[in-house]
Amino acid sequence: MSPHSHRGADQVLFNSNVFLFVYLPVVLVIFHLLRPRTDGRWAMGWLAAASLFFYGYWDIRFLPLLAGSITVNYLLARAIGPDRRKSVFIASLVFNLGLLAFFKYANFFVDNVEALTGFEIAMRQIVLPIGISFFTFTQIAFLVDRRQGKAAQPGIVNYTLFVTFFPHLIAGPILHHREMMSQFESPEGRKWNGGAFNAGLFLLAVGLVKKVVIADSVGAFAAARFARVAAGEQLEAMVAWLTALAYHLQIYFDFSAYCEMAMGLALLFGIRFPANFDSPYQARSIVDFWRRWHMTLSRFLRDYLYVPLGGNRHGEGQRLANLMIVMLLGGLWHGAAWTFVLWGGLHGLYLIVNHAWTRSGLKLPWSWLALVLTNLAVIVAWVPFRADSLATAASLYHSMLFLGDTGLPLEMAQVLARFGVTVDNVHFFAENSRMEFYTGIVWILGAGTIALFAPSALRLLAFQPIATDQETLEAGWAERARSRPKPFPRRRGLTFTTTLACITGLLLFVGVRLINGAPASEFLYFQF
Amino acid sequence: MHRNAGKFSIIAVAVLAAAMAINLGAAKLALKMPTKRSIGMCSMIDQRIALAQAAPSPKMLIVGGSGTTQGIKAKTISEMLGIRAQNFGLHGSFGPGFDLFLAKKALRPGDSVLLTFEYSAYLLDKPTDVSLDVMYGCGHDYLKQYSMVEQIRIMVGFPLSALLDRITFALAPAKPTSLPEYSAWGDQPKGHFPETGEAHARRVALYRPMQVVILADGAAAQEIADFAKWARQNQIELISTWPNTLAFKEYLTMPGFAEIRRFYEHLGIPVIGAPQLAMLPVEYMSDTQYHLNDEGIRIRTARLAKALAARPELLAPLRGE
Repeated sequence: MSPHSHRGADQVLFNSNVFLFVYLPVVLVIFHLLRPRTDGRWAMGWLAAASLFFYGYWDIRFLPLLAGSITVNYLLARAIGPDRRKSVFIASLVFNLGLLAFFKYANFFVDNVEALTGFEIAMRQIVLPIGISFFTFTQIAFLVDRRQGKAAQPGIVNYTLFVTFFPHLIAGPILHHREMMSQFESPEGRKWNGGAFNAGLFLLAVGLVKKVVIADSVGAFAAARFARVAAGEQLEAMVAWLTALAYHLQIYFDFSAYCEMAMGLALLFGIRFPANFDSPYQARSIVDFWRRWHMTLSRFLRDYLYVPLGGNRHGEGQRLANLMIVMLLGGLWHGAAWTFVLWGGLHGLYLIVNHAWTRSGLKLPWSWLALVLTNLAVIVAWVPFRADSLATAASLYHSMLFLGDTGLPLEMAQVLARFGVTVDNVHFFAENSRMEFYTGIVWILGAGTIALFAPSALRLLAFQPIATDQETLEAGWAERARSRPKPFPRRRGLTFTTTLACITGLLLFVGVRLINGAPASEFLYFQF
Repeated sequence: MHRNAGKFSIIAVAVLAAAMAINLGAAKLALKMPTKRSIGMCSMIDQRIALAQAAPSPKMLIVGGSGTTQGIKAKTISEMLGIRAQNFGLHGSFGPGFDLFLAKKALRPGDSVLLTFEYSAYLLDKPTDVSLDVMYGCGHDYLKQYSMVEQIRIMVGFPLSALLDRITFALAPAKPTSLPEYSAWGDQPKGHFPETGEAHARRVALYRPMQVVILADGAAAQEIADFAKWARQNQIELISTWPNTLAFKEYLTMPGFAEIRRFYEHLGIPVIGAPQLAMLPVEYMSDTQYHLNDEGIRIRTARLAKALAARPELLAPLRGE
């Protein structure tokens, strides 16, 4: 330990002291002081400026890029105008996709050309600006809707806030102008909303604890073992499965925590986000999974890719092809690497199988089997998503298929032997990994139980995100499944009692204690 | 939604503030309370510093964790190379920052430092329970290096288990584990650690290769870089070598060793020998993969001395040449 031990602390992570104790209180207090004045315009302007500061604090080099992207897109949207000018729209698409291609995919493209041709292309490595995928997609959707005459031209301040509002800027949700502009512009939306503030504080506390208690704990287990595989080590089968499970749960709790914190933060400013995460590991099919995981990305891909490709309007074959295209591009959206393409391809395949199964009319005898199979498919797909290369993913798959050592702690094998069970090809764990094995099992069992059976914080509150989100929930991904979950039941949720206030305060305390006792840890989705 | 919105938020924030205040108060109180472990460790640190300060300069201070204590014989190095070497092995979980902070107390211009950190030390990016325990016990001056904000951070993150340890010890003080009497060279007396018995041998044989990696922007790397800067300013030469550890064939292909070498060379610190220099088979291990038995210490020390002898330019200042 040294004065350098908390090097991540100078970043404005949601789970950092500087964010929770400096940035957020300052922005919040000034916002609510300004809110009743000048019809809220100053408050919105302040929020936009604070959001730009948030981005610039992260990495000042990319602030001009964000500001430039907003300015150019704003002007292009205005130029599209009521005439819906096609040429301007195409120029805007070229601009945005070009920006994304340059910053996100140029390195990938050059690496692959070099690998294929053997030529060395002299090009500097391009640094990926954080959040570029999110702010570019948000603006593309707006431009498409401008072209289709579905979006009015907002003022520059509200447009800037729509793109940069700090709770969603780095890792989503991918907002739709229809949901946000009305909130920015409505006088009703600028009134103090105590209920929203309470819900915001509660969600912030729950998200913080989820991140620092669960996601970071299972994440540490997964990270250490993925690093070993990347370094060339072949894991034992049992450890490989635990590693895959640990990542399965890490990304679940990390993204769930981020979504809850983002929604909570927005609510502190009286702004509602769409739901983005709805207990996806409780899904009974892959179609159902995609209705619950990163819901706003699914919505974007559906509305702005799947439907324009033809959706299900040109026969079953074309529809399945469209699904595969969308999932492959969805994979690439997460990162410019073949590992993400494989992840997307696997999910495309799963969706195709899912639709074929639905068409066949077959049913699984038990509902829990559908839950297990869905999770199994998702776990298998997360392996390349997390791996640093296809070789690492292949090595982990090799271990998971029991093609290498089985791996058991000595004492566990001894216990099994008492029951007459002997395990062939077993490799007893090293002295230095037995405790980690058992600790890993405890964390995975605990976290897995929560993921599979506990209601989300939103459902606990019986909280309605925003109206358009209801539409997303009900519309589903590609088709309505018969087993569609009821969207946010109307039953009475938690009430904001003194007891809940004390619990919220204690949750915040636990979160703060842990972020000060451990190195800073980014949310996984910040890298996409 | 609750109508009394202000009340809910005020209570939640007040509970947070109260819990933080109690936490800070408890941590502040704990600063002055020893534990069984901290008494033992602090006594070891005091002994290490006193012996190193008493050793004549110019000397070579061999800094590392317990692997240094249980792997290198400073007296043998001194005799074989005609220099004054001093064992300054501490504890693997302290981390390079604290180890080097303590080493500074015994260094004088003209001295050299041989860095022999265990591989796990390069991965330490947060205080361990052991290091916190010791810093709270006898490392207050180290903690004072931090800014006020950082000190508050550390106190907020103070582990509850550490607080319980202190209360338990205060209520029922236990006798600290007795320490070996180090020789004037800082060496541990022969046979302090048990020879490899059957049970130990089986345990040690179950070890698997460790993760060998250094994070260029990690805390350990930064601490070593800071120390290198301090050493240059104080006319102290730095040399690095590999920690003694259990040999595995997998280590031959791991890229981490080259990364560690590059890291030191980038700082202008020469790296002595190859990693295999310090790797020994299981029959030479004591109770962990870093600790050697007496025969292992003899072999490892002889190899190290030979590797150092091959770099006479590094030894010349220590010989007064």
